[in-house]
Amino acid sequence: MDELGPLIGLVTRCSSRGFVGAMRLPETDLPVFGAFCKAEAQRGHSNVIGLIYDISIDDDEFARQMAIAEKLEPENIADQQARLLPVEISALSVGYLRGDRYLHTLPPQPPISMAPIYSLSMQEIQAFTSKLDFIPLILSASQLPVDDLLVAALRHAAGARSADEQRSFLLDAGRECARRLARDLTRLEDVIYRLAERDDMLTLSR
Amino acid sequence: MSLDLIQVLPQVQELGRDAVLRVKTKADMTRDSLQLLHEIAEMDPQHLLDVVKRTGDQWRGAAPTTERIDAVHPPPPLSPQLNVIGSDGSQIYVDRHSPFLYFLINIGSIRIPYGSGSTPQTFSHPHIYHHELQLWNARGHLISASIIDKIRDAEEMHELANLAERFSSKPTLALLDNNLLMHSGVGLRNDISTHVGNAFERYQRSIERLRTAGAALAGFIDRSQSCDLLTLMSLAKWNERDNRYPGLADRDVFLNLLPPSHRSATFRLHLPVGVPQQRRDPTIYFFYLKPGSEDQIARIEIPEWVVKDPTLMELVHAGILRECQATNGFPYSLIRAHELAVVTDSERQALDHWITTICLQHGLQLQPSQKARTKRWLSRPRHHGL
Repeated sequence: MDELGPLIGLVTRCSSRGFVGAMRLPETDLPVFGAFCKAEAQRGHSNVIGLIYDISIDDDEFARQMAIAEKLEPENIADQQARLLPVEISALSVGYLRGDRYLHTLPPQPPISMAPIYSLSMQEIQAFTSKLDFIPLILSASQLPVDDLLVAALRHAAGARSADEQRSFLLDAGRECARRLARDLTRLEDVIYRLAERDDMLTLSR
Repeated sequence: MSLDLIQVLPQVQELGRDAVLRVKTKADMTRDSLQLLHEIAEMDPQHLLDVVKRTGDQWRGAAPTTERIDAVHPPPPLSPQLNVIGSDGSQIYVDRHSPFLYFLINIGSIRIPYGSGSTPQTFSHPHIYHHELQLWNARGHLISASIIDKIRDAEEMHELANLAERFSSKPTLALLDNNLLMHSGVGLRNDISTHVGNAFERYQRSIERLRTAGAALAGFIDRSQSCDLLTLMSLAKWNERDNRYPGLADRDVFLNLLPPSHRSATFRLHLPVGVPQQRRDPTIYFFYLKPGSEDQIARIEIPEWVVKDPTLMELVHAGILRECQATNGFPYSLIRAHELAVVTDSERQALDHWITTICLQHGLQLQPSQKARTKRWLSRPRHHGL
């Protein structure tokens, strides 16, 4: 990992609300649902912060034919996995970085095509999530699994902190969710329950 | 839409009736030809060889080898370790209407180390030809599509030779999606251009490198229209130099003879001698194989060194079957090589756009021909509310 975090793709299409990137990546390097990423915008004057909400791999007739073949050699399977089928990564814009300041609102301009997309480093995730003002942008996203995305993002943010800080971060996050979802107690209960779930992966993800 | 479907409809109906008739006639001819194959197989092999010899040097057809001509060979056992290399090429022909004259050849290739569990390696080599000497011949003619095809063939073989030398540790099957004849195009036999000469030299050198590397080279031809065996049968039975079964191809003869995974006898390809010795293709042999579905017969072309080595012959037979088992009859490596080589229309347009942009950066404004521009006007269909 370099200072920028690992490169996970290049932007192929974008809007102010989010961006989509594609890249051929080995399975082990694939980013995960709810992970934070960033892509350069405004000729390098800002970086749009994204939250990965979808990772997809398209198929084609050849791949489908291989999948139903009676006899398939291990080398054919390995080759199909390495074919130039791009992994597509969709990210929701949840803020941007200008200079050394994170802003938790939609960016003034989206990134442009072919802008590299990097994973956020632990330090960057900590800095961006030191304020929880990005939560409304997640909750207002339409046609996305927003509750799952919210929980995954907050757990990622907690995972970027030391074991001592994780509990207090999740408590703060829970309070913020309670404030935002006060009118929908069933939904809030579900979010809080999943935030509180013990997960050893939380500390391991560091 | 400019095609008047109302006018075409009666012709399509006639075509359908004709197709049904043709299938019936072909079935009768196929039955006859198979009987004739068995009949000729009973003849003295030396007599058959003498008949071929008497045709002189202007006849194309099959010549028998030591195998009985109606022989059927079962699949040999599969070797657990097998290296398969395959290459294929694609091209952008010179377009005299485009802003800049060039042609492109893209070679895709793959190496599959069966039995190792490793991920196959893939390669892609695009090359743009734009120098005057590459585009024009000595008579000032722009390079033709058929010559570009020959250059592409030579590059495909060159790539196979490179891979065979690089991965020479295991038994290697080298596959091409093509026949193995460089000078098969009639119009090129007497072509004296440097382009063809250079391509042919490169092709011959590459074949020699494959032989030295010990690779089992094979050309896989799906739905071959060749009738070399039928021509031999017509010669042996009726002393006629041409195929007496119009519309029938060799593969039809074997459709009912070969069980799945079996191959036919091997034949030597007897070719007219119309080119100087240094331009002649190496001696090519071929057999037919049923590699997958019931109605598929592939023609496999192999060079002499493969025919003379029973181990390499088994490697070709078993290796192609292994390659075809997941794809229902077409080698996996050739599917992938094609995928890596193919240049789409949109890629061609993107390349043209880059060339125009880069020339503009150098202060050169390029324009397509007026004809190309008018075609662009018509490229997008109009949409209306009717």
